[in-house]
Amino acid sequence: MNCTKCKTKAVIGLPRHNAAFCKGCFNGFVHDQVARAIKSERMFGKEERILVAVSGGKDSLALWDILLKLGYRADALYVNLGIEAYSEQSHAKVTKFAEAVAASQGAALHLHTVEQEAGAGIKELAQLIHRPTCSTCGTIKRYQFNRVAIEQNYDVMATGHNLDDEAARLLGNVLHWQEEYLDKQGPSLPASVAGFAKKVKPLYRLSERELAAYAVLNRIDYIVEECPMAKGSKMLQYKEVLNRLETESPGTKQTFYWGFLEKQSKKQPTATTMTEKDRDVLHPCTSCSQPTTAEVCSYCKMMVRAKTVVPR
Amino acid sequence: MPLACMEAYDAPMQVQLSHPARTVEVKGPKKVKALLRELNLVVEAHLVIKGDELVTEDEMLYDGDQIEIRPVISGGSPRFTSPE
Repeated sequence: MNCTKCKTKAVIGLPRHNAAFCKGCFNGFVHDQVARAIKSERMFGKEERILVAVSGGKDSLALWDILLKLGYRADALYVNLGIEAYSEQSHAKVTKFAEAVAASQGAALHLHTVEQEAGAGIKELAQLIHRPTCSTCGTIKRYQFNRVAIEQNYDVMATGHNLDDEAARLLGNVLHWQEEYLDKQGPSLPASVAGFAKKVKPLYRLSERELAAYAVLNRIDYIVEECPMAKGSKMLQYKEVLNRLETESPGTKQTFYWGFLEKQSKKQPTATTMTEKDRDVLHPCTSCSQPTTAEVCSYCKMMVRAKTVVPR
Repeated sequence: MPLACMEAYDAPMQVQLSHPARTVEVKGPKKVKALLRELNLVVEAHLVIKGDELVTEDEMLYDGDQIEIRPVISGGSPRFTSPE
């Protein structure tokens, strides 16, 4: 198989684009896709400060790498969840990338350790509040990334969600007819109320396989092991189903998700609608001031419970 | 040919898999696509690495090759679905 662009030996085939690329042309393809996402969704400009949410996985480290290579001002935040060996390894991968690649370009790494604040790791916290671990993880990460973005005056927060993540989430929302969540499925969410940072997903045009290939080809050392807490999760099941469809019928995932985005954009000015809805239901948490639908946000409730129950 | 060389020549390819981590032996020659099919693995969910180089689905693999089949799927939380 030869590279579609330069005709040298290809290292990856992309059936959904009916193309194959050598390393150089593949890097160009990935950078183009991210640049296109940033421009078409008006995510951020060259002067804005970006906070990248990094986990040590391929997507977030690839995102940090790509943004720096494209010349953006991107720092990162890593949240150590306290999942024993998994967190130790992922923390080490992030630190290594930050020191070896990001620091030379003037980019900084922020760190939040769940155990330091809560006195317990994610597993114990999930048990305390009787919620699934992945859901508890989501609450903590959303809260901490938003907190650091607001406190440190970042213009926008970027996450490594890729095409597979978004297609799987859309499938889950449609299967359960969670229509109220569909407005939040766009790749660029405005800072709808005071206390909320703007959130963007610059990798939504790239598949999980393409991002893993980018990491391998560019020698980005990421954590390959799956999070032990995610085993058997619904998201993984949806992804498996979509990948079987994609293998048989290339382009299925992008047709599904991009088609959804196109329909949403034609339906109504989504950003305005979302902002209006948020302003109706959200107000500052009486404890921490981050926006919430309740009197006290779910993160603060969890911390109160942790500090009451966990011996320190 | 000395016995040691014969053994090295005849050794099947070593295929490293994840989740759980294990190594299986597969007889070559075989194309990447056929190897994935034989192991019942979906192309879209995996990368195939020979030595330390990525290879495409039409690449021929031979006995003695060191292969890693790396899964690419990750993630548990359906992130950013709730308003908070």
